[in-house]
Amino acid sequence: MDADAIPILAAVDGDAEFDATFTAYYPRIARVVARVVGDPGRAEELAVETFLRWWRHRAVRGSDAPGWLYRTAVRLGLDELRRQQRRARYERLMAALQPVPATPQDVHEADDERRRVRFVLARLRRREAALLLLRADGLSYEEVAVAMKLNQASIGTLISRAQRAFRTEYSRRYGTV
Amino acid sequence: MAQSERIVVDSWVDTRLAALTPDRTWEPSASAQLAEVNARRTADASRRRRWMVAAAAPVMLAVSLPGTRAAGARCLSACVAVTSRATQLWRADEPFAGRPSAPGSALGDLASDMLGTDAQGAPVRLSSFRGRVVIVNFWATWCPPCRTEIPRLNALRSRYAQDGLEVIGVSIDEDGWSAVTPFAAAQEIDYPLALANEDVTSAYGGVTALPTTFVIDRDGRIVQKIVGQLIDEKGDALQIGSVIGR
Repeated sequence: MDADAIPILAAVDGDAEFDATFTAYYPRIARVVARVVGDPGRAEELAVETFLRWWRHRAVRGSDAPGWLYRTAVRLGLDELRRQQRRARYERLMAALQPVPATPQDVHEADDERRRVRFVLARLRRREAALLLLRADGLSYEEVAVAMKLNQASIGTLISRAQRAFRTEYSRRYGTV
Repeated sequence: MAQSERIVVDSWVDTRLAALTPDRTWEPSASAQLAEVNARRTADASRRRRWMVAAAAPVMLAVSLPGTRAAGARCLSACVAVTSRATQLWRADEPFAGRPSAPGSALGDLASDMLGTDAQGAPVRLSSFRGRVVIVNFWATWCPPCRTEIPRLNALRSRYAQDGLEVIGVSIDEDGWSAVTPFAAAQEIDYPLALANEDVTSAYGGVTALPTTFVIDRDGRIVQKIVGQLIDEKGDALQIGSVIGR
């Protein structure tokens, strides 16, 4: 018997829920990942990966799904960002060993505000970066608290602390602001 | 002041993070991705199912054949034995680790539970003092050296009571409680007493001389046996401090 002929495990109802949730949240999830990783193509790949993980994670269904999707998407994005920056550091090190003249594009990108912000985000704790990103994506304090599984009473303090951490790290890297 | 400062920080950070907002012209399309995602889900489910079948088949085969089942049982018992041995090695620094758990009268053996009966005829059991260090002192009213060390045992019990020490005087008087009770009152024995029969003394190695004293640790194992007086011309034979952890 061909194993491919075995029916898939998910029930029809599960498929319907997946389709509905995907259609409703995919654009927002892709955009929040794009904030972190920059490249829209890569953001869409990670958004799809987020939904596939959600589908495999059978315990999270119904009203818990959006928060789980946001949390996982931001974490995947931040992991990708850190990978990118490790790679960039390695490439800079290699370039230092085999120096080549900087192109105008290099100079422009080094000064790019988005690169600075992403660099600082990658240096923050993952939870602090996630709080700032979800807040920047327009989620209310309550929605951020649900997505990050945090106490609603302390979410304001935590976001404020994350902002201070961001400002401190930014100032340390790029001078007083 | 604090509030206005917080707002300044908010807006500054928000401005920085706003730089990350994706291009408005980019609209991620769920409908364009849905077909691909569902194809990946189907493939994922098939792959998972294949893995389950691949993992279950050898197990089912092994369970269904008597030979492999017996080999499995042997393997399991060998694992249990190895684990048990490893546990013993792990506890090798503990005194008497790995010693048999049947009662005996040698050092490291579990001490016999039964110590005799009290004045009311109720059994006196070592297990009712489990968790405490117990000095079991075999004695008799007609034994002068035994009488000599009664004040010492009273003092030991009083001094180490907080640390969990108990002293039990096990008499082997043939006249029974009619001899022991008035003697104990006259000598002001503070610690509990028991009257032993031959079963008790033989379980403790056949007490052949008096006094004979056993020190039992908190786990019920014999850690010291002293035949004769606790203090003689060689000094104090009792090593209670190390057993009690002081």
